[in-house]
Amino acid sequence: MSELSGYKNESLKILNNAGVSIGDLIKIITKTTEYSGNLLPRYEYSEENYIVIKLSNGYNIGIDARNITNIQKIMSGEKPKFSPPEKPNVKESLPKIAILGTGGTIASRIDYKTGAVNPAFSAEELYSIIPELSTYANINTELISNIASEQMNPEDWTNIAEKVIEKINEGNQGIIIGHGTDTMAYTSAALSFALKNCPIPVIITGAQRSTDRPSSDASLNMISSVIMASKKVLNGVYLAMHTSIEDNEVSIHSGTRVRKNHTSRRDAFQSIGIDPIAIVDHGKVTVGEESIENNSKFDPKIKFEENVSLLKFHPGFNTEMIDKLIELDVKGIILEGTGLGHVNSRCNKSIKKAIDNGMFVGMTSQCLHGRIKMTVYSAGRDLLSIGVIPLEDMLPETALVKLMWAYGNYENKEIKDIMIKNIAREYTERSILGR
Amino acid sequence: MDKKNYELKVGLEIHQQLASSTKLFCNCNGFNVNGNEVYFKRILRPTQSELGKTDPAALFESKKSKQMNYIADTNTSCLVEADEEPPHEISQEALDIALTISYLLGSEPVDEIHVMRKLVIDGSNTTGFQRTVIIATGGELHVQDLTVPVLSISLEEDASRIINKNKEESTYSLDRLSIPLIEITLAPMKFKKEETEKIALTLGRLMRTTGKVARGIGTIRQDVNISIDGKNIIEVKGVQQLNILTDIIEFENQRQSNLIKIKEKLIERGIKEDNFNIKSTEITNIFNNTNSKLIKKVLEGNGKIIAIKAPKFRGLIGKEDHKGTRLGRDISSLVKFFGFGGIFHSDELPNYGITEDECKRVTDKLENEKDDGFIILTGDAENMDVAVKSIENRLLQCIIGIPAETRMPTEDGMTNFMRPRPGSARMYPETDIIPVKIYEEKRIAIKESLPRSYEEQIDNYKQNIGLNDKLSVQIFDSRYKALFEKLIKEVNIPANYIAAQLTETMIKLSRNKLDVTRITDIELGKIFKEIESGIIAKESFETIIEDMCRNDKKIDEIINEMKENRLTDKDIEKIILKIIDMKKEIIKEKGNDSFSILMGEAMKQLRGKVDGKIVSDKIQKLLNN
Repeated sequence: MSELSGYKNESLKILNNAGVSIGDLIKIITKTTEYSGNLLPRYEYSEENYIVIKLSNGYNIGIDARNITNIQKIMSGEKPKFSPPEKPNVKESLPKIAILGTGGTIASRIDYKTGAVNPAFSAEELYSIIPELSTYANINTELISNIASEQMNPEDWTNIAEKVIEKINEGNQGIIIGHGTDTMAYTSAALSFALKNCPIPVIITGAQRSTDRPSSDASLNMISSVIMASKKVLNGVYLAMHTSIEDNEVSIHSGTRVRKNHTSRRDAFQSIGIDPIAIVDHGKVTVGEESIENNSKFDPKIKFEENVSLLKFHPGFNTEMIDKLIELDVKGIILEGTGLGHVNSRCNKSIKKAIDNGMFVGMTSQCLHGRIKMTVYSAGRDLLSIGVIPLEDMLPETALVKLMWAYGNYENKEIKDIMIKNIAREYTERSILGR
Repeated sequence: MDKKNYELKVGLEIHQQLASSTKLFCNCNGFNVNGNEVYFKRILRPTQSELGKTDPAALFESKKSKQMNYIADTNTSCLVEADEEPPHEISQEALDIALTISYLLGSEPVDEIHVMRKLVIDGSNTTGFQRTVIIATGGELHVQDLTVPVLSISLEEDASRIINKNKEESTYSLDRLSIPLIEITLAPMKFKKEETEKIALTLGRLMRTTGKVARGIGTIRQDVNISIDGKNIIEVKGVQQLNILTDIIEFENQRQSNLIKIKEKLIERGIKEDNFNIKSTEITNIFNNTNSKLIKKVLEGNGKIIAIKAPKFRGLIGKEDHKGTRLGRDISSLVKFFGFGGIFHSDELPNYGITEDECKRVTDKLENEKDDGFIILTGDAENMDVAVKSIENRLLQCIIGIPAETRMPTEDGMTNFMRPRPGSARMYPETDIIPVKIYEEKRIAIKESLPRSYEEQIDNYKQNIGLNDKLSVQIFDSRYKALFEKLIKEVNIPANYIAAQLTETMIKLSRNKLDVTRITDIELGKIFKEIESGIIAKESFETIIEDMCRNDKKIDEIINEMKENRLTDKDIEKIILKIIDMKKEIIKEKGNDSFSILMGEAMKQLRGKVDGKIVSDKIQKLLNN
């Protein structure tokens, strides 16, 4: 932290003049009153004319620098001393599990002096914050990136996949990936394709409530992921998050059939068209009927082609969007059509042009639930006749990721076959009653 | 002890719910419990500080109260209360009320408010923290000749209502969670019994001048901060009755004085923080053949026994100049907090079947010297470490003097340890809400529309509205103050009548065990409007409220029935003519004096259906014909 982190212009000037730095106990005299407290950093985004202090009762307040007549330093601040916890005795016989961090926080510590929340990530820290982990696994940790999930790009999926392969080679029996929730389901789909026939469980997890609060869902999600990984019952790529708004069950979702369906709830992630593959409830794992026995050879293909697009059709859709994508040399398009897989027929000309240009155009539905069936109405038949490929009940986002993966690892002529082949349970063969 | 340095000071901290139309951080109305019930279960985990340590009490609470059960009413709670959605912006309405009260007290609002999280992991907040924000500092409360300085004014979320608590789980109702509370912290003052009551009353009325504070049971709570050394403050939570308050203050005075004496004695015996040689050791073996029934019971139940050395404490743990103030009782209530039955200590032993020989073996094992004492903790092995650690800490605190704690009152005017005082160390910023500036325009607008003082408002009730003295005070103090003020502007019926119904009639009905609080201001407003229109007779107010409470009837339903059964002018005249016909002999005989007989007869049939004034007018008219 720089000496006067976040302060600018007027407020920076008067703090500099007073010779104070962050953490110092200072007295501020304003036109109307006076305050004493410890100087805090100012957040970068906030308005610049205010100085923030923490009063002795723990409250923070902002003081308008334009009202300040004098600042005095009472005492220099102390730097917080962090003494890392000791590593507990973990039985060597427990399964070796790697926890990879990609950004966001799995656990954190609060610096009460400044209110800063600092991520805690070493194995020692994780054990100390989530002591239950030591009863299930011998964990090792590695921070592989530190980016919010909405900032992730397909190249990051490649990096994660490489790291997973490295961890498999190091003899880990399971891998947990801590991930921001916004694009978590994209990553789970990407890894599902990239790490096809993965020989160990790879479980992506995160938190909908920040880890600095006692009510965070992070701990239960992490504990349940570690339990799932350590039980060696399922191999492959999964996403583990709360089943409901309660702190008891965690659902283990198929990496390609899961979607973030709520902005904030703990149970935002839901499997679509199938049940969660397993449930972890108070340490007990129940594997559902839809788990798949996987004995095929591990066949990682970890590249992704970014230059594809997901287009959501809507009334008033401007067909020139498609023309522009052709001009941009986009390799393929996933359409998110209406109902059984339709778009307004005025789009057909541009779609045909795209296909004639060698682009793959696949159809998914914005209904999210249910299967594409383009033979029922003439709008669908017309699209079929110009070469649009129906993608069963694949989720639009999963279809997009699959197309990126297909173009990243296969020849153009293979794309259509790859896209209609069920590789990582991205579509279901049967639409089960009661879902 | 040096009297000059120690003076009993008492500061009140008043928490008053604000009657704002929404909760503090969402758009739910916390007073409108009528939706469906939703249940969910949660677990709270303590967060860790930079020091790499967790507060032992907080850690224990999280371990102990494994599960929290929440009952949420869908009208009064949304995803925000369930901690399933980030908080919305702070309620401007609540902020304005708090600023109004701040200006009434001459407090200076801060330039920019920062919402903080105060860690509370007993489950009363679904998040594990209470959101709180300081609004203003300084100011004064004037109570006749006395001036009480105001330290700070904050706005915070009320906590959930506890429904049930046992060792395994706690159950809370979310309706109250996040209703805005204003917290006014008054400076500790030299304690005078009669003044404390006046201070509380005056502050209550000052807040009520806004017409925007909630009334009724549980809407105002006071904590009392008691200190004799001027540094370490004991906060006693939720003191309700003022007579008990005095006992509690005296008890704390004695208890804290005792702690100071202990500290002085320890210093005299040469103990300092750096040579405070505390240790604990398991002594279960010593009691293998004990005759103590209490100890035997522990050993049968797979428990163990630990002795904690209390260096230089001999004679100090059991010392008690005032009932209940001994250190031993404090330590005992501390371990009860961790689920243990209590302790034994060297000053009370041998006793309880523990022999002198056993005591000697304990002191030998601890290598105790002459002035050293010990504490014995018995019980279930599982939580023993935390409890032992907390006893050690408590002993260590004796050289500092009085540990700042939150304590709860007992019914007989003593206090028990509740939890360590959540001080500045438990506050960190609410990062989901950006700081809010309080601009000059807002300050001016609020200052220009400050409510009139209590005295002025009472005077106005009397002089301009025509209320009598008693009703003036009653309606001011009642929950219906704002409704009353609205109604006298909107409906044309006498103010005394409205005030009497809203105070005396409602009090009478609630004494009859009717829950009149469930009738909303809107419903009451409808009743008065229909009284004005003549659909409802003035005399029926009470029976309508009764009908609504007892039979769960809706006001619209009652009004519709009344409209349907309403007597027309012709119906009324018919009834009166019939009476005149029946009583024609008497009318002949008495002439105009027969009016009261006719009126009495008519009202027998028409009471509650037609306003008395209308009946009397009609009788006059028909008689004159």
